[in-house]
Amino acid sequence: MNSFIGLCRREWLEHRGGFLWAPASVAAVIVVAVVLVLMIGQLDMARVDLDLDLSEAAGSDVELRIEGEDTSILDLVDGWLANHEWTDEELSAHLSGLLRGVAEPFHYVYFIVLVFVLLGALHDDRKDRTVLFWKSMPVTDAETVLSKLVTAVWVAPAATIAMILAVQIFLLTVISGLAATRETLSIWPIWANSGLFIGLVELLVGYLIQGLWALPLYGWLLFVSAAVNRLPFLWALFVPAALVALEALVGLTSAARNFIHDHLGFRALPRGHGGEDTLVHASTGLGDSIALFATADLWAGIAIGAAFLAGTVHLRRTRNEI
Amino acid sequence: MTVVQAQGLSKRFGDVQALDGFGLTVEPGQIVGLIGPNGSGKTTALKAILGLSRLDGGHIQAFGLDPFKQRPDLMRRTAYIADTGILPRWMRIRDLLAFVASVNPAFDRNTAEAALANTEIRPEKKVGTLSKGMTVQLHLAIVLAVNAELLVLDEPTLGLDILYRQRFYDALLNDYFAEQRAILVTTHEVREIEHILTQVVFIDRGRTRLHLGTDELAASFAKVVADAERSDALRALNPLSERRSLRGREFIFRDANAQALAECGEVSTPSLPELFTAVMEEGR
Repeated sequence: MNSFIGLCRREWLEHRGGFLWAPASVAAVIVVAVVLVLMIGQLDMARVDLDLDLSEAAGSDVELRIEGEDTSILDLVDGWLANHEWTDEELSAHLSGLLRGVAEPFHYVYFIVLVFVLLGALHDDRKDRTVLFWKSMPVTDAETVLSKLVTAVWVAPAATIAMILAVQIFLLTVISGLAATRETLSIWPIWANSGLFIGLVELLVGYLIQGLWALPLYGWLLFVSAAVNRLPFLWALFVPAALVALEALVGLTSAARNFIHDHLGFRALPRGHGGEDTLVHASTGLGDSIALFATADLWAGIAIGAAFLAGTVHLRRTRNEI
Repeated sequence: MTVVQAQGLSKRFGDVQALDGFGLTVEPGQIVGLIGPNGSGKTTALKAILGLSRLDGGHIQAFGLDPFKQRPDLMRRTAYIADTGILPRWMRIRDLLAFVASVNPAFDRNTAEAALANTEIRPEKKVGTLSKGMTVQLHLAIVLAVNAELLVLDEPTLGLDILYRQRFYDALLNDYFAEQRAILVTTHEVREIEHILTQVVFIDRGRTRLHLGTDELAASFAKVVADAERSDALRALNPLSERRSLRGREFIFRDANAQALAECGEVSTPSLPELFTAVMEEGR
């Protein structure tokens, strides 16, 4: 157990850029954007563009651009404040929607980082030959593979969630501050109805279950990482694409297409503000995430993911430096 | 207990028969040099001993363990440097030592830190900032702090300048080597390790060409330098090799009649490089 923690710590240190600094950058961008909006104070300029350079984080040239719709805090707040008859339900609907919505860029950034971390996990150390050093340690290949999966899928989200929480608290503080200046809305109902705490539980449980839901994807990425000597990203993309194309060509089923499509979605993560179709199949809440355990789909995915992981461990035993 | 026992190892990569019946033994207290030209199967043999690859055939045990199936158990008793100076560049030295300490109970962090205190390597630095020579020092400090019964080194001084090479072997002999421990080292630079070996194993085309103690060399092999007139007589005695040198013709013999040789010229014990060349030429 001690050695497993050591392995996880190693993973964390190697990918701290992606796991910690990437969500921290998203948080910084949002905070700066909100502060700018407040300083400029002009509602029609309250348009937030996220432009994030992930190149250091993910070890490749990824650039993420999120062009916000009118994420105008002032717009939102002024709209609310104009209305004096706020019920708790209305407050709750708007605020929890806002808090979930602000979490979304974090989900996407985490997902992108995760894809690149998993694809490099058993490939990069073979390329730079450090695999021979890692293998001189008395740990099994199964422990190594599992430590990489567990750290990326179930430990790293802690940082993302912490950053989401920080930004959410920041936003509620800003809203409270605005409310205080206008004296039309008292501060306590804002915090009481924000859904901050239940949102946190939703995120924690959501990421836990999302890791299981997406296990076939994560297992596949690790498998490719261990299997191929060159261009893991292309292989990871090409094989499922070819499978889906072949399936479409034969035309008998669309099982593979549907499976891949479903499991790519953030099925267990809470859906953001803005209605039904913001995220593919996103969860509507805690109950919805937990209900996934009752679906055959989740267990089929876990079985497929476990099969990929077993294959990964097998490959790792004999694949050394490239 | 025999440290390594390998017989009849075979391994094929595509068209290349990397190991073809190779075998060797390593006993406690031995420093075994595995010597062969590039592509002779040295690294393949070491990988098999370290459990890094599956063999096509043969029998191999290290400490009575199957290296491939029981690699983690083997690694508790074995330290190896498969490629010197290849350490994770992104890692801080402090974190690297903490990592090794967390996964390897046989590693004594204090020993490693004490060894590093005598160098210019600072724990807060990243491995990537170290020079090649310093990285090798770091690697050696880590490996020598593992209380291992077998140390395996594959071309440990490749790419190092002569100063570091000397220090490397000095550290090996002074800090690590002891009666109950064994070292298995490969190199294509025979001269470099000649003086520290207790055993030599010559490997060529995946086969063991010679396997004996360095103290037995004198009894088995002889070098004779003779002038052209005596050369025919020496050739009749079936030499392993013959080459022209400044002093005349040099012949190397295996298990030859010492008296017959002495009548033809000046007899001495061949050096390891001379012997290596002779044995390799014989097989070609």
